[in-house]
Amino acid sequence: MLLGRAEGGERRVTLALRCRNADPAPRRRYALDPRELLAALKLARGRGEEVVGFYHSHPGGPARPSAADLAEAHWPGCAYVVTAVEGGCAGETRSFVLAGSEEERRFAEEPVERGLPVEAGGAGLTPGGAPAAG
Amino acid sequence: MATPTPSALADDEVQRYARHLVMPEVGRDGQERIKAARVLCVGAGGLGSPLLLYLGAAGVGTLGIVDFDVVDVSNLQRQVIHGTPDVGRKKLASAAERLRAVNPHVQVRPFETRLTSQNAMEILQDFDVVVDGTDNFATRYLVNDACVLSGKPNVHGAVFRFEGQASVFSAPGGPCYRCLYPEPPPPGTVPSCAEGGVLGILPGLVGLIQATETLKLLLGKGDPLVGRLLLVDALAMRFREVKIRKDPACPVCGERPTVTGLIDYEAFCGTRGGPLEARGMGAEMTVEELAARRQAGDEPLLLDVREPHELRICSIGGLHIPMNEVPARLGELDPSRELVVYCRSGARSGQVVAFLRQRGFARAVNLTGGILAWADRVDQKVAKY
Repeated sequence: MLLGRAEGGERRVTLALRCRNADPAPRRRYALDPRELLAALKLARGRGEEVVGFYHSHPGGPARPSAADLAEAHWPGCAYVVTAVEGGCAGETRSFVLAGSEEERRFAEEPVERGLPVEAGGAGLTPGGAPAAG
Repeated sequence: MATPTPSALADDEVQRYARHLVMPEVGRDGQERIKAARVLCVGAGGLGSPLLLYLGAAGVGTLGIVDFDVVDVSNLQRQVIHGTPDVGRKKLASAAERLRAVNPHVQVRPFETRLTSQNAMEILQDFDVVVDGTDNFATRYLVNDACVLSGKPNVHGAVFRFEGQASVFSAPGGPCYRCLYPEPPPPGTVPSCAEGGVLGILPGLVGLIQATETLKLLLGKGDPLVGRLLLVDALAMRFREVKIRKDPACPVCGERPTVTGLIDYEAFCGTRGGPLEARGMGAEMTVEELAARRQAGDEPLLLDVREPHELRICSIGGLHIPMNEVPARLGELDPSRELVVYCRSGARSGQVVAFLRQRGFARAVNLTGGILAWADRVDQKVAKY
């Protein structure tokens, strides 16, 4: 997951969180553990930031989203970053923003700019959600 | 959920529910089902207030309410079932009176008690749906487990500051709260609404999502929030969904459950008891000791766990990680080093120390009295707030 700020149609990533692939077929597909997603949202909230995107790799595949990636993408305005991996080495990296309505979702490619080094970390499995208002 | 046997409507009820009766999804049959339904709301606070008002107005025949609290003036910013003249009254009395005024056809069943492992199964047995309006983790796990064990849906909601979440747990085939959160957070790492605040309208928004889901369950219409956690961000005004699956290894609703009866939820959540040392209490450093160490050039690493806006008021230095980020940022800390944790008063930092010690930070200590004590007894130039 990618944490950072979204302003004026651009997303600036400050923290990349490595997550467990919860999909039963992890080499072909990816699925986030909802607990990690919630932990990341909570972390973002604490940092005054938001979840601005998701990144994953395509081992032996191209740096563009698959049909399954589109079917599983539900967070409009977020960047879905895909890195091609060939022979164990990272290749091209491209980024696609989820656009359109829930019924007609599509990916729009956006330029990727490498700026300052991005912090990296793992999403801790701490419960998000807080006690309800008493 | 066992579908309640429809209960015939009187003539004045037909008029009252006219806007429901003309809807094909509700109609007379649906309204009669709503009338026959028995819904239990745990807590008549921020979430309970709006959802009880609307479920009452919608004609839910029996509304059970579990609450033992008294209306406080600080509740009125969001707990709309209570009014200014109700301050000091039992919330149950205030809520029941208001519900009777809203809809005299509703039967209110008050339970003036804290929901406990001893009484939960008995209280739940007379209800079809349970709505969670609790304000603490121990009761939330209790509600969840009691719902799973009695096979009743648990309409969940939670709010904090500008954010909320809602889902329907323990529905047939769907996940439960423990599938999502098998373990409670370490005590003290998640601030309550009393500590962190909550936008007054937010429990209204989330409570009414719970009320909507409750009516859908009673009617058997639409797509319930089963297997989906709805996240509400009022600041961005964005609703997002997270898919949640039933966990086959869930300790309460999984294939081989280890929780087959209600347990001690206060102990489970670490909110009561335990030896002082294990909870981090007693691992303290006085401000005088810290000042002496500082003067001697032997200052231990300080960790400030306050919120960023508090730092702008004053600081006594050290590393800054806000309390709720500590669990995710443990990697930035060295467990072998001496660590003096501080906040404004020593309360939050004490909880962080307890958490750190559980995670192997044997040399973490709390700065007793926090910045307030430092300002009083060491350096008067430090601002008190």
